[in-house]
This record gives sequence, C-alpha cells and structure tokens, in this order.
Amino acid sequence: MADDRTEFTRLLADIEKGGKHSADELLPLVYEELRMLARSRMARELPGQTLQATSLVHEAWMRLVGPEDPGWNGKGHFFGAASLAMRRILVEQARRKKRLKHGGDRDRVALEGVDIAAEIPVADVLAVDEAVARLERQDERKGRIVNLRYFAGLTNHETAEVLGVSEGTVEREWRFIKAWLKTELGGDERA
Amino acid sequence: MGSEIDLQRLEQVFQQAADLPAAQREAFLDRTCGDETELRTRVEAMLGSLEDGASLSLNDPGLARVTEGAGTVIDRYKLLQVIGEGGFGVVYMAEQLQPVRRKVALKIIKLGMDTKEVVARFEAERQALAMMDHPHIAKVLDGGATETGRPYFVMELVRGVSITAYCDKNGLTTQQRIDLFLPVCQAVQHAHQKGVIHRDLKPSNVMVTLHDGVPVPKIIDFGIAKAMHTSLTERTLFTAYERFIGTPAYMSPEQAELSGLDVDTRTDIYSLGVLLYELLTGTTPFDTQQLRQAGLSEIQRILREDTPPRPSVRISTSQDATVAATRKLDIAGLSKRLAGDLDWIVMKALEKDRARRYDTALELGDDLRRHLEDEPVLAGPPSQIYRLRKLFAKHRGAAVSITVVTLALVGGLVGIGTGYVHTRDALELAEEETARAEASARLASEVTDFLVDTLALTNAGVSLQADLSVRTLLDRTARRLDTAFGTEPAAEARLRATIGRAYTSLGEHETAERHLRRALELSEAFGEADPVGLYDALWSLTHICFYLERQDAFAVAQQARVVGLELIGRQAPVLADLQRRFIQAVEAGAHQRDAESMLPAEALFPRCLEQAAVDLPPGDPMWLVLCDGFAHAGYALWYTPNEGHSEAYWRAVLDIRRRELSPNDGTTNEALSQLVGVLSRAGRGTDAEAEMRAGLEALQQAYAGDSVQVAYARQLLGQVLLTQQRWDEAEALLVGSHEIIIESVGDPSSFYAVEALGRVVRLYEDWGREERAAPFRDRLAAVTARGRWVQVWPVQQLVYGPEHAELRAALDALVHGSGGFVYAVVGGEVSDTDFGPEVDRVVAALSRLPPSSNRAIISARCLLGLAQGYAPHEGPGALGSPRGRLLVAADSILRGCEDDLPLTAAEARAGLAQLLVEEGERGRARMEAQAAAELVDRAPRYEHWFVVAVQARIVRAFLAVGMVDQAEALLVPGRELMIRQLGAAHPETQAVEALLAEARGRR
Repeated sequence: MADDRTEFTRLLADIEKGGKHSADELLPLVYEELRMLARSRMARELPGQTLQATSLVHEAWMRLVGPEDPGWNGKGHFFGAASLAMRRILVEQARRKKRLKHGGDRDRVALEGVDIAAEIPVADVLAVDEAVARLERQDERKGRIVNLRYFAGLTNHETAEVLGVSEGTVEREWRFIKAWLKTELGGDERA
Repeated sequence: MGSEIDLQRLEQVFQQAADLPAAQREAFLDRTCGDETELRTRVEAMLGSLEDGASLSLNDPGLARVTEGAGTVIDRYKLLQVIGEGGFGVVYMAEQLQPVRRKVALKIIKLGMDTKEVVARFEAERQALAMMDHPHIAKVLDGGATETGRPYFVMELVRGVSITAYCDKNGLTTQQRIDLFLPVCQAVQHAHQKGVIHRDLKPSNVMVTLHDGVPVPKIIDFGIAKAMHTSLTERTLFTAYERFIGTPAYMSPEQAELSGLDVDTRTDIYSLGVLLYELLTGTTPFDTQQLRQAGLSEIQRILREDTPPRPSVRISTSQDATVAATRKLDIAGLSKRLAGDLDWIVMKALEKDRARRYDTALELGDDLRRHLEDEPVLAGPPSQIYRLRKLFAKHRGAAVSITVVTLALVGGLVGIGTGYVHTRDALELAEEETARAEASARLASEVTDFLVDTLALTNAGVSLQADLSVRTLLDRTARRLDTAFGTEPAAEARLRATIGRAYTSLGEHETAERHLRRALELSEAFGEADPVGLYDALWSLTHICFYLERQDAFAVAQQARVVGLELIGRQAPVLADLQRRFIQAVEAGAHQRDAESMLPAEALFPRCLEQAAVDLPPGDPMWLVLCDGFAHAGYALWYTPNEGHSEAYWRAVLDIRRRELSPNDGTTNEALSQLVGVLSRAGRGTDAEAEMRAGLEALQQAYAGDSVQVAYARQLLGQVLLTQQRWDEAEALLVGSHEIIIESVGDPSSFYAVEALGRVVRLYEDWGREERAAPFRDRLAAVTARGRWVQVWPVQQLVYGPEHAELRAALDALVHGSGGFVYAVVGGEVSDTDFGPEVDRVVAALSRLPPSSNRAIISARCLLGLAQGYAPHEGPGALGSPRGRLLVAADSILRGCEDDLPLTAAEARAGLAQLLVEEGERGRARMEAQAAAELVDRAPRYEHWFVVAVQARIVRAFLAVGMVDQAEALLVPGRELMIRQLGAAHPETQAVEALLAEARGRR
C-alpha cells in the first residue's frame, strides 16, 4: 500500500515538474483504486448499504497520496482524475443496473454490483452524464466542475482549490450549471 | 430541450439576471433578449429553477423532481412562501386550512430519504412530541408525506431571529446573555423529561421573538431529527454527511461518529455547551469554516480529540475587540469576566466523554444560576490525570515524537533505541506519575496548569492541524517559563526538570542541559519540593554530560548517586548505608574490573536485597533508585572477562522493574536484553532462551496482541536461537517479527522494519540459504534506497525544529544513501558509495546554523561512523576518497568546537593526519597529529576501554608520522586499562598490543 502511495506520489511529482508522464496516466490508477476500494468496502458493509462517492474519493486520496500535501497542482491532477473515474464508475453501474433490471436478474445486483451512491436514480445518472457531455463540449471547465462537484462530491471550496480559481467563481458557475442541467433534463416533468 | 443556444451568451444573460432582484429581472430580459425568444424562455426556466427552493447537488439527486412551490396545497396546508432552507430541506410559511385557519411553518424534507420510514418514525414519536408543552419550545403539530412522496413536518410558526443574532444585534451583556440562555436549558430539560432529544441544537434552531418587548427564546425542530435518523443507519451515509456538513460545529463527538446507536440526552448538553460558548465568546469552540473544509474523518477526529481553548483564553488571544465591545467590555475585561466559573461551566458541558458532562440541562442551568448568584459552582478545573489523558489523546497521531515527549514528561527517560513504547503505555505511566504528583497537589497543579494552558494556547487560533510539533510545544513552554513563571521556585524547578528531560529525548542536549542545571540550582537554593524529580533530573543530566564530554560528568553522576542514597536514607537508613557501601565497592572494583576486585560488591549485594525487602514495601519508588545502583554494577562488568558475574545484578534489576514498572517499560526491557546478552555471551544459550521466552510471554500478556515491542522481543529471541544454529526456529521468529512490525508500524521503511529485515537477511546468509536471502536482500535494497528510518536513528538524536529541516534532510541523505547503516546495525558491510554530494550538503547546512556543539557532534559522529566503514585509501588521492571526504568534513565541523568536544575532535584530527601521510604531506600530517595529541590531553579522563579504543585510532596517526614517543605515552597506560577491563585475550586489547609492538619496532 505504501508502495502504491510512493509510486503515485512520484508520478504526481513528475507530472508537476512537467516530466514525461502525463496527467492521463493517473486516470487508470485512480480508477482501479476507486473500484478496488468500493469492492473492499462493500465486503465490509451490510448488504444493501450504499457507498458515498465523496468518502471513496477522499479515501483514495489518502491511500494514493497520503497525508503530505503534494501542492496545488498535484491535488488538481488527482481530483481531476478521480472525479472522472468516479463518473465512469457511476455510469457503468447505472448501465449495469439497467441491464440487470431488464434481464430480470435482480439478485445479482447485490452480488456483483458495487452500489455507490445508488440514491441517484439510474436514469438520472445516465441522463446527467449525457447532458454533461453536451455541456463540456462547449465549455470544458464546466464539465470539470460537474465532475468534481457532482460526481466526486467535492465542496465548492475544494473544487475551487482543484481548479485554481476562486470559490466565488465556482459558486457562480455551479449556480448556472445547476439551473442549466435542471432545465436541460427535466423541464417537461415540472409541475 | 435543445442546447443550440450559445452557452456563453446564455450564461452571461442568466448570471446578470440572477444577480438582480427578482422584480427587476423582467425588465432586464426585455431589454437584453429582444426577439431571442428561445434564449429568454430558457433563462426564465433556469431562473425559475433557482426560485423553487430545491437545489441540485450530489446529495440531492432528485434533479428534475421538484414539484412543490408557493401555492401548492399539501393535505390541509397551503404553501405561502419559502422562509428558510437548510441541510434537511425547505421551510415554508404555510396556511393551515382546517380545522382552524392559522399560519404554520411547514418543512419539506429533501429527497433521498426513505419517506415511509421517516413517516413511520414520526408517527412513533408523535405521542412524545404531543406531550411536550413548553413556552420555549415550538410545538410540532403534524407530519406526513407529500404527493410526491417527500416527508414533511408542520410546526408552530416562530417569527424571530436566531439567539446569537439577537444578542449581538442588541448588544447584550454577558449577564443578559446568560439570562436568555437559562430558559433554553429549562426547555431542553422539559423535552428530555418527555423522552425527546433534539439532536440538532444550534443558534438557527433557537429563535428569539419579542412578546410585548420582552425577548423570548423558542426552540424549533424538536423531535424532528429523530424521525429522520433512520436514514443514518439503514439507508445511506449521504444524508448524514450532508447534515453533518450543515452543523458539525454543534455536534457532539458521539454523534459525529455516525454510529447512530449511541446518542442520548447528553448530546443535547454538549450542543448547549457549544451554544453557550458562542454566546459568550462570539465563536464556536472549533472554527466553523475549518470544520466545513475538513473531511468526515478529520471532523470526527477534531471533535473526539482536540480541546478547544477555554472561553476566557479564546477572548484574551483574540485580536478582535468587537466581540468584547458588543458585550460592553474591552478584551481584558471580557476575558476576566469569563475566567473561572464560566470557563469551567462551558468546558464541563463540552466534555468529550459525556459521563463527565452535566447529567441534565437542569444541572447546567443551575450552575449558571449559581454563578450569577455568586454561589460555588459544581464545575471546576478537571483533575490532573484527566487533563493529561486528554493531552495524550490529542497527540496520539504523532507516534514517535509524542512517545518521546510523553516518556520524557512522565520521567521515564528511555532511548528510542531500546524499545518502541506505545502511547498507551506512556499514558499509564503518566497516570501513575500524576497520581504521585497529586499527593503534592499545589505544586502539581501549578505545573500542569502551566503545561495545559500552554498547550491550549497553541491549540487556539493557530493550529487545528493534526500534528502540532512537539518541539514547538516545548519551545513555547520553555519561553514562557523564562518570562512568565516565578511564583513558586519549586514548581519551576519541577517543570524545568520535566522540560529538560523532554529536550534530552529530542536530542537537544544543550537546551536540556540549561534547563536541568537551572532546575538543580533552584532545588539547591529553595529546597527540594520534589526529591524524586530532582534525582531523575540529575540522571538525565548525567547522560547529557557524558554525551557532551563535559568535564563535570563524573561529578554529576556522583551527585545523582548521593541524592539517590539520601532519598533512600530518609525512610530506610540501614538500607541506605548498605547501598552506599555497595556502590563504593562497585566503584572501587570497576577501576580494576577483574573478578577479584568485584568480590566485595558481590558480597554486599544479597544483603542490600534482603534489607530492601524488609524496609521497602512494594510500590515504593526507592526500589527503582536501588535498581540504578545495581545496573551500575552490571554495566561495570560489561564486556569484561568476568561479565558472567553481572547475571545476578541484571536478574534483580529485571525482577524489580518488572514488578515496579511494567513488563513493557523501556528500562525493564533494557534489563532483560542485558541479562540475555550476558547469558548468550557466556555460552549459556539455553538459559538465555528461557529468559527471553519468559520476557516475551510477559510482554505478550501486557499487550493484548502483537505490537512492535513484542515483535522486537521475538527478534531478540530469534537472535539467541541463531547463535545456537537453530535455523528453522530462528527463521520463524525473525520473519514473523518483520511481518508484525510492518503491520504495526505500517511503513516498511521505518527503522524497526528495516532492522528486522536486515536480521532476516543475515539469518539466511549465516545459514547459507542464498536462494532465500536473495528476495529479502532485494527488499532491503528497495526500502533503504528511499526509506525514512534514518529519521529515527541516528538522526533522532537531532532536534525536530524547522530550523534543522535542512540539516536533518542532509544527514538523512548521507546516512541512508547506501543503506550502509542498516548493514552496520545488523553486522554487515558498508558499501562503496561515494557520499560526496551528501557530505557537502551536511557541511553547507551546518554552516548556515549558529554553531552548537550538539549539532556538531551529531553530524560529526555520523560522518566518522560512516568513515569507519571504509578501508583506508593508500597513497595519493586519500583526501578525495569517500573515506577521506567524510573525515575531512568531520574535522572541519569539529574545528569550531574542539574545546567542547576534545575527544571527538581528536579522533577526526588524527584521521586527517593519516590522510595527509598518504598524500605525502608529512609536515602537515605531523602538525595535525600533534594537535590531536593536545586535544586528547584536554579530554576528560574517562577510565574506560572505549576511550582507549578511540585513542588507538589516534595512535595510528602518530605512528604514521613517526611520533613514536607520543604513541607509546598513550598506549602503555591504555594497554593496562584494556587488560584490566577486557582481559588480555580480548580482540580490542590484542589490537592495542599489536600497535604497541609496532611502535616499539619503530624505535
């Protein structure tokens, strides 16, 4: 575990220095870590329990980076990768659930499925994912904000720190994004 | 809905509109959008989504499900307008339509909860809620589910502002604030009697309304948290977390654990304490902003471990005079107003352990009333033990350094090298120590107050962060001691002795020495309030004096023994007299260290033990003082031909310390390892094994499971078996020990882990199992290449202060550059690495610090130690060889303080002389060798074979430059000392003999 941590910290440091590694290389590492964490946590939780994206991401941070602060950039790279990884995991999970539901094989959800943040209705995760894909094609930073705020569960403050902008900026953009997403997704369902 | 509208334009219009008050938006949109109807429709829809009160966040995944809004009718209530929004949901002012028309508050809970569950819970709670009837509690009237399946609650409508806002706006004095707080306590008491816990008391749930101009506090939301509590355990942590983020500042430690099982009325007492704290000081005990930013586990840790500053301290350390001004006082005046009763009342309500809080809200209210009426209050300063316990709990994280400091604080000065002691044990020791201290209460209280206040100050604004450096803490204490103490010399002496011991453990020998010497001066001038403490201080000072080559080292050691004997003499004069004669016999014998000269001491020893058994009850601290004398005798025989005679001493020391301290005390283990060492060196492997197994068993009983301490003992047992070539058993122990250590410490590159790994490698090498050695050797290479263990040893001798960061890093790099020291520890070879750049770093780092013999000796000994790992380089180039660079650097460091450290400086200088000989610079070499000889003359005369071994290195330099006379002058008495102390056949003696023969041959 400490070995992973050292590897990861080294990779972060290398990216920070502009070395040969790129931030993309973080993604598979973080992705695996999150999945592994989710699986092992599920093994310890009671059946039917769900996991919290925020705590998973923060736990992954502790495991991969440790208590030392690798600096603003390192943090940015990590949470950038982690939020993307989390989004993938949530979307995969939603797809899998949908498949299983259609296949009528419900019991297997509990056996195989790692239930993260299942409070989000299945359709919503997929719908949000698609909407966000549209959003980020036009404005990449907004996509990152959704990933960090919504999928990785970071606070405004943490999001601002990761993006290197002021908290006010995040708050303001998030206000817009929320309103945009709501109208994008659910205008017709409104009472 | 399409997304063909330009996003940038959309955002611009939306943001501008959203910034405007609602009434102006239409006009703005008219102006801006013109005929872009699509844009306008979208912006309006988006603005609408802002208004309806629901929010989209990860915690509110109900994205498009928002349905309720003004005008909606839910059962018999019609929503009028949003009056509040919180972590739970949205609060509306609503109109009840029947049976009576009246205004109520209706709270709709956010999605993400199991409505059925919440409603069922509410129904179950309803009876109790209905029983609550109190003027200061807003009644919960109704509850149910909306059509969209969200739970809602209906409450008496309270129009007002939060209690804190009310107090500040109206500039209430401290007394008026307490007056307003008292009915809140009564209300909470009432609810508790009806079996209802609030669970979410905070200013926004305690509203103040005016009735005929008189402020009346009213608690809202009573009983609602419980109905929603279900989701914490049964559904998801989401909501809990969100709720948590809403108000962690007011949450009790047990509630923050989120276990959901273990919350009772006392959680409300804690929240009342926070509320009171805030009313009095203007801030919550822990910074709200900081808590919000902390992760869940950090919040839990803070609530569980950190102690907030007392209200008066919070005020007195505040830069902001407005808080005091609002209460119609200045900072000093307000701090004074809060000091004493109010401090203790608040802190009692805020106890981490709920058993120590007020049992009921009534008690809290009563104590406040007593304070207002100048009666004595129930709350008081917490007991010493409890405060120390909290202190240790807080610092649990900083394992190694805190171990050091706790050990030092409790007086059990143990080098880290002898064993790894857990905080838990230190805590036990601390309690014993404190129990002892409580006997002289005033003194102890003054000292502890001082320490705890110093700690709390540190804890105040500046650092909520996890590890407050122990060093910072000590420095702060020491500084305050220099300026602010002085009411009670005995207390100061005691505190200085404590601080001195702590600095010793941190390797700050010079600072330690200053405090210890001052403590002794004070004790001598004003009498000994704490003779045991004085004795301990003298022992610490003895170690330092030897370490720093002080001229009075022997005198201090002597004084320690005298004080020890006086201590014994006070209660057991006969015993003291016997022990005095015993120690004199040991000293006399130690001079010779042969079997015969130690006989008188050996004869006295059993009589001392017998008399002690008569005079001293078990548990008497004098047993430990006696032990120091016995250990002295044991060490006098250390590595001599008669070492076997020390067995009896070590057995006695071990038995007494096991009984008086604990099996896991560092000094107990010191005795155990000495005994086992003596037995194995005497070839008594079976006995050594039996002792080690007994020691291991005692340790395992003391520790519930495996621990580093146990692992270390297994390692020693493994080593014992190794000498008997019982390979398989040794393998099991050593490999197992390594695994346990990694598991306990978590860091494979920690010193203990690396040492254990090294031992495994040596085992396989000795056994001749190359195939098994190889993988472990690879692991060793991997961890030492980047490990951190060196911070523990030997650089642990170095101080931890930030000013030393550079030097520490440089020494780290130097010492573990090749893993050389690991091998040195386990008996291998140092590699061939050239440490050039690392050596330069050390020298550069040192040059940037003010000169200090402590820093110099640490650095120089590292360099000299490494240099010994290399074979001398012959011929020109010696100065530039790895060994040469190390020696030259050590020499240059020591030149600044050779008066203080003559012996070490002489060793380095002699090394330099030899290098110069190889380079062919015989003139300079001779000069340096001469200087080395003069330094040796100035060194304190330690009659110990260690010193002769060092001298032998200097002698080689003399011989190399042809200073035969000087060589002989050192060697002849040295040889005699060696023969006396080690015996003629000992390799060290033989080496000296060979040198002497060489010198005579040159003549």
